[in-house]
Amino acid sequence: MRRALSALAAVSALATTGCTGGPAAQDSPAGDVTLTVFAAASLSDVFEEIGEDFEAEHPGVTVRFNVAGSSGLVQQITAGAPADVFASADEPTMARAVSAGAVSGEPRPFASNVLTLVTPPDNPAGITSLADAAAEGVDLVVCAPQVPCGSATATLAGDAGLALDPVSEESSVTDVLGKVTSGEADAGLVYVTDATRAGEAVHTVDPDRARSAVNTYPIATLADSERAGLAEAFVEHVLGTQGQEVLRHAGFGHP
Amino acid sequence: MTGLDCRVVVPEREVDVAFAVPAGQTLALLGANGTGKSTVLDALAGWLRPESGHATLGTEVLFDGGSWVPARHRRVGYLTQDPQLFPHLSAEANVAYGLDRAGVVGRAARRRVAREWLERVGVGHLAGRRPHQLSGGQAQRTAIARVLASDPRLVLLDEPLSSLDAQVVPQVRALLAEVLTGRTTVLVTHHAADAEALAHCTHRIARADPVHPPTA
Amino acid sequence: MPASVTRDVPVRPPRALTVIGVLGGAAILLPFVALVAGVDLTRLPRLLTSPAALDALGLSVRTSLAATAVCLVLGIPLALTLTRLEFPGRSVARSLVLLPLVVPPVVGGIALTEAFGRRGLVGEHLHVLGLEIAFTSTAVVMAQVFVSLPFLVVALEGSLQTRGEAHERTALSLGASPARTFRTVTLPLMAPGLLAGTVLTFARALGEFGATITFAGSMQGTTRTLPLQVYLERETDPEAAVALSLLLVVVALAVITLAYGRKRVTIS
Repeated sequence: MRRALSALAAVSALATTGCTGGPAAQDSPAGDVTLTVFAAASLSDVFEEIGEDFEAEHPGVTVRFNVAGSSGLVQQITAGAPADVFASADEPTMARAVSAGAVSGEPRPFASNVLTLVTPPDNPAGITSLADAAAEGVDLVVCAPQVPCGSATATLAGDAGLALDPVSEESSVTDVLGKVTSGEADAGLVYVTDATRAGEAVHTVDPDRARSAVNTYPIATLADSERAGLAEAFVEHVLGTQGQEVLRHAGFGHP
Repeated sequence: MTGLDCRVVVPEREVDVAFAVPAGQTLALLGANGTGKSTVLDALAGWLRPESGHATLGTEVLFDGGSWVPARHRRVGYLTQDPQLFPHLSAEANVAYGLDRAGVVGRAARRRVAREWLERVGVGHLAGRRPHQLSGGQAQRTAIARVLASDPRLVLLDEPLSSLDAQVVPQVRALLAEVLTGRTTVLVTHHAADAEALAHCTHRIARADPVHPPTA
Repeated sequence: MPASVTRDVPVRPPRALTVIGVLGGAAILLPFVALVAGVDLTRLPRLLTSPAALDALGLSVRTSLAATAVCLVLGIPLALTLTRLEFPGRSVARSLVLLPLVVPPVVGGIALTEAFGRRGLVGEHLHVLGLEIAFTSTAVVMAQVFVSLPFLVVALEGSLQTRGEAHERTALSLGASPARTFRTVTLPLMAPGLLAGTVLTFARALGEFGATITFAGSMQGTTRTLPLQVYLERETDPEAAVALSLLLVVVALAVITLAYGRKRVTIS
């Protein structure tokens, strides 16, 4: 509790730097600071929730999210988009941001995600395993190898010794999920978190055996951030008990 | 030969006009602007369906309370103020367009007849030209040839000389007088000279003709 | 007086408007200039001839041509119906035809899925008959037709309305049947609008992305058209994405030049 309070004080102080107000401003941190977080698409819902918790702990701070595919986010960041924190869906993508010199300090893993096989709720093709989904005549939809969920898909297929024969390789896991929930596809490989979020709209097949390919999500503060302290506090929050609880609840695994 | 007997009632335009044209003669329909002269021609051509009235050409009913013959079956030639030549066709092809109906069979025959008509109206040397390469007078001569080549049983002329340059009007008027000989024609004009030169009889539409409900 | 040639004095717009107009032009052109500047010319040939890029280009051209053909078959009668036939609700129908122009393409994709997807309104019955549209090139063509048909209809409506019906009436009075009137008068007179509309339709089909990715999926050689390839390449190889974008721009530019650059057919 004391730590939280002192952190709050620190943040309030940060919030007032640049303002003409003296120490008195510490009591009314209405300096309206906005923290910009770039987050991978699969984090969209869970980071909204974490952001609300963070705002509740840090009055006067507004957390703004830019949610998109990790690769697209790296491009925006290296092109100079104003951002304070970056959370990527996999390590190779984060590594690109690091090698571009956009990250300050070491990226830290904060969550993991695994793929799972989903079908429409009525499972029209009667799929009970990944092998079923790889069979001829089954409309299987996966992520393209170019995107994080696609490289995980390749690992999964390799581990299972299967050659997948998808009818479509989507650019994002959301598009895979969409094809399954609409009943266009017989099966799709999506993250466990997406399956959790979709709820009744999909049927999850044999999750245990599909859980071999693990994606690790790293988070880092960005070099160009003008609110380095607050950015660091946000990262700490994500890694802290409360943040981790929200992530677990959404189906994310330990880093 | 076929004479025309008609009554055209279009209450929205305050038109109620009745007249007859003896077979082979030309009637000049006169009247101030807005008295519905063009409306009457549109109805006779089949471009407009009047609320009521009738028109008979010889023994054939063009329209009455119950029946309605579409424009393409009427054999009514209509020459409007604007020659309305098809812009993508040569003068010759324009004249040949209606020859099907005149019973001219075969491409070569149609070509020959179209040429003859163009010669007759004095623009034989322009057969290969497109409409935008013709002067106003040349275009109107071509349009006259096109209407008459289709062998109409009734010819409708709506101010056929009004868009022409003054110096060519007498020549085109003389041409019309010649080619209309023996054709049942309704001519709309407000030039006394046209009526005098071309018409056997006249019918003047008074402004605001009382509109009666049609009697059965 | 240096003027040796007589010429009309043009009516110039106010200078300030010209300045703003130039800015407007820059808003359109600058991104394209930047795109060209961003291309690594040494890598360009290799990027553009990769199997994935060639597959995408071939598929895009094939599907866009097919979509344009379908649009012509459907669009000419539709434009004629909307301009030349009087029926109740015509003005409403004319607005509705424009819907795909104003709706985001992804919404179009969802709508197409609801209609022709395996569980869609119509697709359900097709599925029973053994006809599968999803994940085929047919789905790509359908998405392209959906988004580009309005372009053709608008262009044709414009040319039909400015032309009016006088020539058609004349043809009918000369004894031509409605079919002959359409073939020999209406269609030739539509030609300028038809050409411009066809080109726009093709260009729009070529650029179609949102409805395709939502409705048809993305598979090399079957459904992954050039725009989808660009979007995917962006994930790993932004330079390849830029190169492919340039290719799309060049093709689109060629098509537009073909339509608007050539001398207009003069019709009195």
